[in-house]
Amino acid sequence: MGVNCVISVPMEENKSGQYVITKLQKKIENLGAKKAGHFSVDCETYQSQIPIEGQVKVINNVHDTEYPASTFSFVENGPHLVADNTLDMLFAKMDSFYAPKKNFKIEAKGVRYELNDFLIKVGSVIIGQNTSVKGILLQIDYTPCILYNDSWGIITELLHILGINPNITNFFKSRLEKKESSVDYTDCAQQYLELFNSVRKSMTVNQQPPGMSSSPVMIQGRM
Amino acid sequence: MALPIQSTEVSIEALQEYPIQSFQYDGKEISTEPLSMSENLSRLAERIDFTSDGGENVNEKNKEEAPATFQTSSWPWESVRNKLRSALTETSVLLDILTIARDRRYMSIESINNEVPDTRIPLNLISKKKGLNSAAQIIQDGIDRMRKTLQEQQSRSMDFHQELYNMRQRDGWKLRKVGNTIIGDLSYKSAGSRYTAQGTFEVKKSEDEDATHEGTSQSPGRAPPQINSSIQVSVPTELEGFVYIYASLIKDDGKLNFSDLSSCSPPIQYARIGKQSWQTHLDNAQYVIFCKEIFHQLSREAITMKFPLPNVVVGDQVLCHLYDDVKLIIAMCRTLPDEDDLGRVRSNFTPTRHFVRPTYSYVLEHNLHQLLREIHSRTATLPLPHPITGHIGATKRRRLAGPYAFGKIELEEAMPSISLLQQIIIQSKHYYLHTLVTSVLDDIAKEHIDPQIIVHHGAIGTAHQSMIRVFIFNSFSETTRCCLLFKIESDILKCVSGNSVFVVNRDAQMIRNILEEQICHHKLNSITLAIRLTNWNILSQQSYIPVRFHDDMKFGGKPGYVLVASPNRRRVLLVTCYPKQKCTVSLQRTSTGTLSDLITEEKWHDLSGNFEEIDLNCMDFTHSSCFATRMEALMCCLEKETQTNFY
Repeated sequence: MGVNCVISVPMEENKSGQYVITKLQKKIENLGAKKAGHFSVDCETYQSQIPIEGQVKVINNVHDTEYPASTFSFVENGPHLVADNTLDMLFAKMDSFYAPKKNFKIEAKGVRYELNDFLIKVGSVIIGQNTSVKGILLQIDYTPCILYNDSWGIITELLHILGINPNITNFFKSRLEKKESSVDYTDCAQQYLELFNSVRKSMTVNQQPPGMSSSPVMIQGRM
Repeated sequence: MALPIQSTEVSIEALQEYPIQSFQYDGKEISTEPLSMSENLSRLAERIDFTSDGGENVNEKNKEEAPATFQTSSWPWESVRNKLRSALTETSVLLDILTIARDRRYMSIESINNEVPDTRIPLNLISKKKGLNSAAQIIQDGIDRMRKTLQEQQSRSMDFHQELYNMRQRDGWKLRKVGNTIIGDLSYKSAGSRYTAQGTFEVKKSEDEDATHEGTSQSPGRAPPQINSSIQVSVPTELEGFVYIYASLIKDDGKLNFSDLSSCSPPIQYARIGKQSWQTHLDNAQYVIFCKEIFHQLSREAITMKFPLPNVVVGDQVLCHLYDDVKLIIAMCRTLPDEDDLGRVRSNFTPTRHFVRPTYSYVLEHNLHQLLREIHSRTATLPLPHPITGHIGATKRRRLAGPYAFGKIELEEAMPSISLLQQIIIQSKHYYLHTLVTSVLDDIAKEHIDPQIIVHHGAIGTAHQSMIRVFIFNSFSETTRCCLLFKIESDILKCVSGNSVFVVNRDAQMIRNILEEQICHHKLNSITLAIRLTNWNILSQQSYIPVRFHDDMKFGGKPGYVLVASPNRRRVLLVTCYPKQKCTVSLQRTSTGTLSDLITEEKWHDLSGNFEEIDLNCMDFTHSSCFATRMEALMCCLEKETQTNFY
């Protein structure tokens, strides 16, 4: 487990999501990376049926194929929990208290690449039953290092080579601001959660006023 | 001074209070009204019983009855009148009787005889006798019944219920009653097995005892010992017969006695299985389940798991590739009971492995059994301590895998689950290497008599790791000995000799070469020791230097040799040693006769000439075939010879 950085890759106008993904994959393969299976990160959202302290609480459960036995559970604006997979069964039994939001399941899945010390994952974001690509996420793991500040330079370099503007998440920013902050296994899930939330938000924004850009985050790509 | 006694007046008078009838809620007492004179009189008259003769008992009775009649009477004098009337009736009846009795025609009055004749004694005796008789009868009946059962028990070896009890308690069979039948369980589920096949049997009371005896008397030679049991068991047809797991290694070139398995699948054999006791019947059926489970698991793993070379599962046979040229065959061989006489291969069956092939490996079969039992025991015993909420059977590392977010590699480490097939393949590889080394060592030990070879097999070892230690020494002296160590694992075979370690890649020739080399070294060492003992001088020495090629080790390179001179330097001997060949001993020729007129000194006679080989076999050493001993004797002879010549 090394430092991991998840960023959102901007969509190109008038081009399908699959086109952007293929283009990115080709670039990664040209660097000499080798395919190493597939990955998937999904997030299920549960809502409290009875208001707690006057407000509806939301819990996000994130599963990562990199940690197959674990479930990462995040209470919105609250603590988080790393537990065994059996937590999902517990939630299924507690549906009178916490019910899953329908068509709210969001998932990023794609191909995993290994490039020497780097682990690169290119994933397309899918919401609910809809198979259309809602966004593209790129995860870069620099496995030998566990300090954010020390590995940020080499990750930025790789992103520049791939021609992607390093538009990092707020979580990653907060980590970089702290000196000598090391990696925790929930970091990856937290970054995914932040990006998932922004994708969802952009979806709702897109649905309400028509004619807005389809890309979730506006980033100027440098090719 | 005594005080005058003054009498005190005590007045006794009736209380002016009437008995209280009740209290009201405000505390007011309601007392009963006193009876008037007439009421009091009638109450007292009520108490008079005109029929009584003034006895106390009767009075008491009347007292008890009086308040009842007093309460019920509506008119105060009614009861008195009633009683008077009944008294009058009785008196008039008495008067009538007396009148009739006086006449003596219809009635007579006589005095009553007070002594009652005691007729009860014989009656008592009769009833007692009767009772005793019936009790005796009951006891007698009981004795008869007990005697009968005792006789029955003696005639049959055991009672059905007793045997059923023993079956549960002593032999530990699981039995339960379903309806009118008794069903038992043969499966290994309680021991930790997860094999789903049905393994039930039915227990019955044997109906015809004579039939059993007849059956045994017809074929006394083949039948198992006398079956005298009241229990009869019936197992499902698929568990009938005898089954065993056949495991064998096959090599193509057949150098190691692994001959080719000609027929691909073992045939199902049919044989007449004689009457067997229920214990052997059940044991056999349970063994069938066990073998089936082994084979089922092996075949499932062979199909589902990925191996570099695909496994073959045909019928009751699994073929796995150990190496390119070595294969492991595991088969399930069955012998079914044959009831009819027509059209089937028949053999006189004894419950032994009568069709075992020469390549059959007991070791591998035993290993398979042991592996499955290990799996059973692992599933049956959970690692402790175990939280209630945790997965059943998971190790502590596996339980922590979720909360500590283990990755894929860490998870695999946390669940070290190696399959049965993988384990047996590892063990088979080890077995193959072990057999290879043993056979080479046996061959070499047979070939070499002079330095003797002793092989020690390490007693402490596992099914996939073992050690073999080899000692090379002379039969007459143990001062020089050479030691070799073979470390056999599943994939690798290492040979440690002195400071060098050879990795032998399942090459029999290489093992042989290493051993030959060591024998050669040993010979040279023992000669050097002999030289030191006889005070000869070593002029030059060189041990054998092999030249190894990449693929295989062929004999080449420089031979080992020792060049020695006698103490007076007049005789020089050369001993050369080469693996796989006999040691050659050569003596340097010296010039004989006079060299020339100018050279007259004796020492010039010993100028070196050519070497000539000596045949040590010509020496008369019938008692010892040891090369070092012969050399020692030769050196002694030569030394003596030079001394006599010189002086």
